[in-house]
Amino acid sequence: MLTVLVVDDSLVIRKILSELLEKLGHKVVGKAKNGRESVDLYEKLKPDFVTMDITMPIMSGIKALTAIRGKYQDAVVIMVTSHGEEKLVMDAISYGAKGFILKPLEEERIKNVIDKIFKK
Amino acid sequence: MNNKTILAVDDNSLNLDILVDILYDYDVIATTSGIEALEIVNQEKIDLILLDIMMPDIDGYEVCKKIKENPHAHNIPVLFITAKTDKESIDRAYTVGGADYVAKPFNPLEIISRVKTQLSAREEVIDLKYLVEKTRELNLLLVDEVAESRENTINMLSKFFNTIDVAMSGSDGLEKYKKNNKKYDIVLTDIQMAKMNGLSMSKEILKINNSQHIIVSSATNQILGIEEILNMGISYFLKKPIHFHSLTKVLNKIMCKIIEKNYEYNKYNEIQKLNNELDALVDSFDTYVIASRTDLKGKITYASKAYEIISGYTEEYLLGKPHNIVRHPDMPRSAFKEMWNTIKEGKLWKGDVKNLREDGSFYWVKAYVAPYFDKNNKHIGYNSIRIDITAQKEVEKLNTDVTNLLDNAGQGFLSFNNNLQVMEGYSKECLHIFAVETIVNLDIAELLFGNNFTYKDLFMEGMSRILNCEDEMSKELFLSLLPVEHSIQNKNIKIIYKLLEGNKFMLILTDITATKKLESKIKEQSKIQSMIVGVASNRNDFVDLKNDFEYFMAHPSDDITTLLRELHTYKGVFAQKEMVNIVGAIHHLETDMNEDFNNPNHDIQKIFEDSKLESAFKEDLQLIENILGKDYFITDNTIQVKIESIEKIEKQILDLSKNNEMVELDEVASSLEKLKEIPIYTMLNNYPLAVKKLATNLEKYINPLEIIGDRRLTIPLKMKPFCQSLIHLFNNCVEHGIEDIETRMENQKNEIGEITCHYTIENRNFCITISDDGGGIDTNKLVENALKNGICMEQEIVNMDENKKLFLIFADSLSTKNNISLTSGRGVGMSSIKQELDKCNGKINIQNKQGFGVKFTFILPLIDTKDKQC
Repeated sequence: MLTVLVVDDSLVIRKILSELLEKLGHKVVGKAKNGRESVDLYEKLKPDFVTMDITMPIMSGIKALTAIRGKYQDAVVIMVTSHGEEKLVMDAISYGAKGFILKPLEEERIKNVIDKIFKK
Repeated sequence: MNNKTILAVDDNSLNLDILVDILYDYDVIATTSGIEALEIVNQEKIDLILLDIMMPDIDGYEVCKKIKENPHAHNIPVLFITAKTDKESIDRAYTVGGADYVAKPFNPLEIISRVKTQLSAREEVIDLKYLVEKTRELNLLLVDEVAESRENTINMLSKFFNTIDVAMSGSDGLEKYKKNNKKYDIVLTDIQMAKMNGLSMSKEILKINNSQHIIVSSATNQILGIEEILNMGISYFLKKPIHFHSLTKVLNKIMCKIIEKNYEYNKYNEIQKLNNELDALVDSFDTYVIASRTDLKGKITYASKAYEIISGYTEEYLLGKPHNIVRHPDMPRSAFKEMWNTIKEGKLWKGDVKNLREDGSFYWVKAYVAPYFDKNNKHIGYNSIRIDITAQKEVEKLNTDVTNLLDNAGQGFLSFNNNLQVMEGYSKECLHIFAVETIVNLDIAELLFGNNFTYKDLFMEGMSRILNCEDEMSKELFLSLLPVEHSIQNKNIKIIYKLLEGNKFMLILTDITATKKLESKIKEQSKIQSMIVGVASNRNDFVDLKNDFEYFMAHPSDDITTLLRELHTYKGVFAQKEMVNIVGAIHHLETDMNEDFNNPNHDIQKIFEDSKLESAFKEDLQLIENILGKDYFITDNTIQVKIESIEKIEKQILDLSKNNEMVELDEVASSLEKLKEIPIYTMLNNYPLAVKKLATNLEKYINPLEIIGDRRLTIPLKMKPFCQSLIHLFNNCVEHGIEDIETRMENQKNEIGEITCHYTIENRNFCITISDDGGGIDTNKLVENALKNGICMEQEIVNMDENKKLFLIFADSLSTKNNISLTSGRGVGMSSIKQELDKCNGKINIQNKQGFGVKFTFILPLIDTKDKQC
């Protein structure tokens, strides 16, 4: 079981993703609706990993990623993205994102991404 | 015969005769004249001159002097023969250039010895320094009983030799010689000694070592038995008193012999070593080189050990056998024919040959076969060496197998380097996919994505990130972001990327055109299936619909608003039945008509006639007939009767009954009435599916719609259009009523929306209630739109209460949604409901609760009342 911080500006995505992650046996310890919230929550919660939406208001996922990884170099951040955002994801990976989950959210896909990062 | 030429000069011809006699081994030119001698040296090649001193014409000194001045002859050694042995005469002889002198009367041995010495010394110029250096490594045994003579010799040899041991007598010398076995390189002994003379000692020593170098010396020339040891060639004679000059000459000679012997010894060792190396080489050759030799007919005359091992035959067995004993049946005879043709011409043949081993297995060799010749250059057979290339051949075969496999896999396999250039080695399918002759060195981005700049850009971006990235996992992530499907040369190609060692990439390309086609066909098929289910689940209903629509197409209304409204209802009904073609066709027509609506010269009728409505509908009917059979639409026992016809009959009966009080007529009327009745449920049971379908399309989460009511209840047939028009309300509920899940969650509502439908018959009224728990109707928006579309004026609005405003939803050309979709938004849907309701004298009740939903209640009287209400 890993602890997760779910970051997404959409309430539905937060809810669906959280449900899927808990179904996979992880514990969602926090939810943030923009990048800035996620940075604060990360410092407070120190989760095992973060799922980070790429496009969010106030602070984008990539900015939040760099902010978190700037302070915590071991932070595991998984980007949540849709088709057409490939280049943004490439940026994110260059900034140290460990993986990405492509929408629509599917249990099997999410499981594979997490397993690969945590070498199950 | 000795080929040396000696010039003998003596005025006494008797002496000359004696000399010629003594020197019978040489060519001797004799003359009695000094002057003649000087001429001879110019004409003949003279190696040595024996010269008398006292001569009448010109004395020996003068002759010698002249010879030494003659550039052609100054090298010729001059040996004086003289009776004058006083010091002055001897000194003068050396002064004019004499090499040595021999005293008269002649001692033949001395003469021979001196001549030999002179002739052999002729070419050698003694290098004293060299001699001293060389003899420093040697040991000398000096045997002499005369102390003075011993010391004289030791003095002379003070710089020579490593050690000089001294013995006082022959027996003493022999004893020392035996004691220090093999120590002495040279023995120098006097001959005349009391205790064992030098010759006896020398003989004893030579018995011990027959190659011992011995120098014997004596004051007299005539010594019995000296020839015996001198003839052995290892002994030398020195006249006493010993002169340094003659001593060093002898030593030099011995040194030469010793050095020569050492040289020979070394040479021997070297040859021995070479032989050993050669043996080892031959051995290695035999062990490691698969070699054989045959005679001209191909019979084996030699086979190396390596040959035995690889072929499995012993050399013994192979000898005399024809070489084709190892021929493998897989090798074509033509290959050997070519080989024989080549080697018979004396040329080298090389080639890969598959050979048969003794146990029946095979091995591959690279063979070199060449003719070989004997000493006289006669062609006597063939040599061949081979290299075992079985492993190489196996790898080659494996490569071929793999290439074949890849070529036949029907997939494109290729690799490209960090310059994004395609490398050698790809499967044939690649050429087919890219429709080119070759792909080597071509730019892979160009090949794959050509003019699709978005994909090309993404691909280049990904590649550049991968090439500048150290982390393997990130590389994989970048790879997984590259385009995975693309249309290349009108084919749908699936692309799989693999990262190889050294920043190289592999692509696996699969043509999925057929799969894609199949998929879309399946999709289409399933659409048709849905349509068939929709049609077949209520055959009569559909047949009615079909007839109605065909009538509608044949007799379109003149009023454009009515036409549009009717069209819109048909679209909804057909969509409910999931018709494949007609829905789109109507939508198209609607759009065209709306566009033309504001055109003053519009000809809507023409647009309607030109539309593809009829053909699209026919296509759908054809699809249905294909599956359900041609007779599906043919009604066997039922006759289509227009409602109007029944009403006409009814009217006639009514008229009849006014005049005749016949009970039967009432019964007929009630039977007729029954004909016009339809079950309510069948009118509505299509809606749950329609709602579900639309909700899925719009990604709305809505509980399944349930039609709640007594299934036995019926309504008059004339209410059917009203029931059909309700599709617009349901569509409205799904599209505009129920909010998206996000809004619902934010508003703390149940995530899943709810639409309900109840019907009942109460007080001879057909009541139907349709409600949703969505956002309700936004009356402000309704008003806004109404004003915009000119439905009503602003002052009218002022006087409107909330309920009145709600009713604006039923006005023509109005919708709260600004954009138009296939299902709703035309602004005619809701108005058609009102239209149909009015035909039935129905009433509407709307309960709207903004944020929580809306409830429509329709009340339709079953019995016609004269006073019409709205």
